Amino acid sequence: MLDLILGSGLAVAALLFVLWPLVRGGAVAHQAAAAAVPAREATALEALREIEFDQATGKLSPEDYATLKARYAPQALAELKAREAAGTVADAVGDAAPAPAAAHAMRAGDEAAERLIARMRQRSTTCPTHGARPEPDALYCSDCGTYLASACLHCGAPVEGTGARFCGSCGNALAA
Amino acid sequence: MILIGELSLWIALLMAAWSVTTSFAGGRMGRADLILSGERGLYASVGFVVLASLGLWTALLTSDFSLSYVASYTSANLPTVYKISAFWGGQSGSMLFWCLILALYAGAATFLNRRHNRQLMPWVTGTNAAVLLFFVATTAIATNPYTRLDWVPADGRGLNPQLQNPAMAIHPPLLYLGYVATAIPFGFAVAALVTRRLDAEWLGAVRRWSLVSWVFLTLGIVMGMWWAYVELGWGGYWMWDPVENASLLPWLSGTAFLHSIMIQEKRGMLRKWNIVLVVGTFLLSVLGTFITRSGVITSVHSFAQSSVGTWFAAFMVLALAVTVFLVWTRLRDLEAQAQLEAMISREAAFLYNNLVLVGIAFSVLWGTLFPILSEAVRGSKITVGESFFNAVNVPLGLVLLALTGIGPLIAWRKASVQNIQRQFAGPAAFGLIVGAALLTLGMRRFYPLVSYTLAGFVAGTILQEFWKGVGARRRMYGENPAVALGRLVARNRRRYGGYIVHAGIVILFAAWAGMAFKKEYDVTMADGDTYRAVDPYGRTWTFTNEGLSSFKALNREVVAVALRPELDGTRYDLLTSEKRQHFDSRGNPTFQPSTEVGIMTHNDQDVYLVLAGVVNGKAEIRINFNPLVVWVWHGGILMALGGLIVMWPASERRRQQGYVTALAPEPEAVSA
Amino acid sequence: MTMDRRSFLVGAAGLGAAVAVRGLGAQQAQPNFTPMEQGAYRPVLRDPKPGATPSMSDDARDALEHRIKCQCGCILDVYTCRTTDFTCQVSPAMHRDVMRLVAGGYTAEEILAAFVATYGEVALTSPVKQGFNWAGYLAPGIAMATGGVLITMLVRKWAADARTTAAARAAGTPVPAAAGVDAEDLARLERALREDA
Repeated sequence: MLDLILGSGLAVAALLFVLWPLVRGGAVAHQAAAAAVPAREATALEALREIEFDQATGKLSPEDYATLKARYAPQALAELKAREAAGTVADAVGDAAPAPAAAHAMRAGDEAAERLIARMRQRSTTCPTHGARPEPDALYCSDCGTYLASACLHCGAPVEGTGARFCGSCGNALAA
Repeated sequence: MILIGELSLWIALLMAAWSVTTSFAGGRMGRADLILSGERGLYASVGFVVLASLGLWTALLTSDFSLSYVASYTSANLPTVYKISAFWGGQSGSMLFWCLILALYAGAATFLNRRHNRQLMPWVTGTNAAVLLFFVATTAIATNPYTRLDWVPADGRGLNPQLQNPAMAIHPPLLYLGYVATAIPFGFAVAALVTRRLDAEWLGAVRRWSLVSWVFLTLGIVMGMWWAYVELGWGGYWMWDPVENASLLPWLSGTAFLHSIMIQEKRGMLRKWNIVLVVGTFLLSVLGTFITRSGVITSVHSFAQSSVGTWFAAFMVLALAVTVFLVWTRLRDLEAQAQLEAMISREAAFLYNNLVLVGIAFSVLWGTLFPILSEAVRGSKITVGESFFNAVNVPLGLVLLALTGIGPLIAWRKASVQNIQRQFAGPAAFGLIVGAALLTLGMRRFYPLVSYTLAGFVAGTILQEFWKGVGARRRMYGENPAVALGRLVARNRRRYGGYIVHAGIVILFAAWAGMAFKKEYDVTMADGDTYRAVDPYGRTWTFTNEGLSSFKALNREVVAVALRPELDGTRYDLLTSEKRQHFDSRGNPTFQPSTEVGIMTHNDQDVYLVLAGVVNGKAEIRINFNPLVVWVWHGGILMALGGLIVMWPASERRRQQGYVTALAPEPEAVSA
Repeated sequence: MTMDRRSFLVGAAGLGAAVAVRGLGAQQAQPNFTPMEQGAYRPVLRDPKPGATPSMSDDARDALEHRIKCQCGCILDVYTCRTTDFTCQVSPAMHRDVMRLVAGGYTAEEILAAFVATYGEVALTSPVKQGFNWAGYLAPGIAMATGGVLITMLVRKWAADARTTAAARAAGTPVPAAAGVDAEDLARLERALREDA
């Protein structure tokens, strides 16, 4: 008898669980849409690394290597500059003098400029674990509270790398 | 709990049906509420399938013999571990087990993609739920494990003694984990076709699931070989039994897919072909289950069979029809700018690799289904045995082995003469040295010689690839060799994990070729007799019969013979083989007597002892010398490890997406 | 209790009640092991040839027995079955027939023919190469050959396409040799590429 009651209870609970989205309708839909994360793009720099490696291990002929490098190098360069300009030095040049980033980007062509803008936009609104933020100028991720901005609130020093938890200059926690 | 389990099966059925309906409707109308409800329906269905499984396990563990299934496959004195494994020991239980794994996979697929591939997911969830619906319906209606008996027997029949083996407790689950995982790529393929989003995006999701399936199938197949070797007693580990073949088929097509996917990633080609492989792999998995379950073909594995055959046949026809329709209506979306610069290129090597893999799959399928075919055409079931499969597949296997060595050496797009010379010199020399050495040592058989030469060549390829890779890293990043080797694998998991799989393949081929030299001796021995036998390496072993014994143990009566092997004055541990008669808790014998073989494993060979029977107080014995068998297990484990490395998720920052080698078809360069 | 369960079940399931009940009722205990057909043995007897001597060694006989299928319902050959399975009555009986025929001076092919005459082709582990059986042997080869030819043709066609495209491209725009990238840029790119910790 107990089994029967338990079974019925479970069935009813499941029914509620399944039908709830239909009852709530629109609100749920918005939540679901907001949760979607765009697929991460491959960076040209990574592609270039792989090209170098394949050439070194004999997987690319010299001509193909030259052609591929010619195609990916400007893109990778634009990415590098965009990253520097944005102040995030994730895995790019560390010790290079701060170059006049915008000027270089312009020289790399319109496409590069577009990329730069796209990167900058993406940077300020992307949490490393929860993806794009709906709020374009968020300081903290609204899902997990990770610090996203590029400067410490305590001492004003630039923070290298989004998602850092402590300031590299003053050591204060950046997020709860 | 048992009653809850029984009810849960039916509720799971309803939930799956709901999930199919709302997911497809939601995907069609673009309504997020329906989509979410569909996902929740799937989760609910997962929960109830789990409950149904727990219910059956409860019944098995508490020996509730009012359930036909429990009474048929267990007895009160069965060791607990085999009560647990009896879950997949019979027809109904293994069907429920299919459902359980499928439900968990489908739930995981939906959960892991709750923030990714959102356009695809309603269709993925719906398709997975539809497959789940089929399996739950078949289980609940055609072969319900909760079917009651009209009376409660005092004890059950017990589990077939051949299934009372540790390998049998693990082998079917592994194989099922492999089979069922092919359903998820199928779901993604259907979703990609329906939404016409046939670019590389869906491939990313599919690749990982295909790898999951591949790794489990590999482990399952190797474990099955081990079980056959230690339990069935015929002295080998593979004899092209229909059920063995059935597990090999999706493995072959899955392997083909994991290779051809690389061409689509790099070149955007072979889209239709990849869809065919994904769907084919799934259908072959279902066919495998069908062959095991339907009993259409005689097999040593027919432990569980009945009338679910019709269900499976209907399902396969339906799945095939849906796929053909979807592909047909989306042919234009699948068109690709197909260009391939040269016959001697990585791309072409992959194409031939696919041809050989699919060719082997075809010949295995053909041989497996030939009894049915010949019955239809000529009216008599003609079975094709080991010799047929070997005649067809050994040459194909060797071509495949050769390609394993050739493929990684060739450059993408077009290999220059210079490239070929530089890349092939080392490995080819290595292979030839191995071949020549064996020839000098007196090996004269053609196939083994070719096998070892090619194995040497492939081993050379793999070593050279690691060597060059480490060299490249040292030059590029100035790392020391150890760091370079570690990072080489860690940063390029797909490639170097793949090479580790290839290394496993080399070891397997070497071990198989060794089996060509096995020796068998058929001996009758009284207590105290000695017998001399020459092993494949030309050494003479002496076996002394230390006597027959009989005793009772747990749920069986045992007759055992013990031989003392001796070689060159060294006495080895006793080698014993047993005949076991199992009985139930009231002492009544159950099943045919079974054999427990005695195996002494060395690196160079196994000494394998089978007690065939006792006649007039003398032991009828077979002694086998099986060369290199232990390397089959090593090779298999290495393959699975390589697969794990390939599958291991890279951190988001390091994920390699690859560059596109399609040099010509830059959008602006190609004028339609 | 049973009635409760059933009525609840049908109600909760809400499926066609008939289907559900039939599903529950129709199922019966399945036999879980295929019994061996120990009556499957049929004698294969031939008078010994005049002045017969054994036609082959024991090893050759064992090899021959690997080519004859045991009829007990297993999937093994006679040699493997009789040396593995104590309970099989069929394979030892078939083995005795083989021994008698060997002693009677019959060759391997004659012995195989005698078994086929008695049992039909199912007595063989691999079918004789004649008639429809050729389909069995040849189909994989034909399929492979066809596939090979198709792929080769396809690769050739694709290669021709590629050459056309390459020619068209060569005539049109030259490959941008890292256009717009100066030495300083290249140097920083190289530095970035060398960092992979």
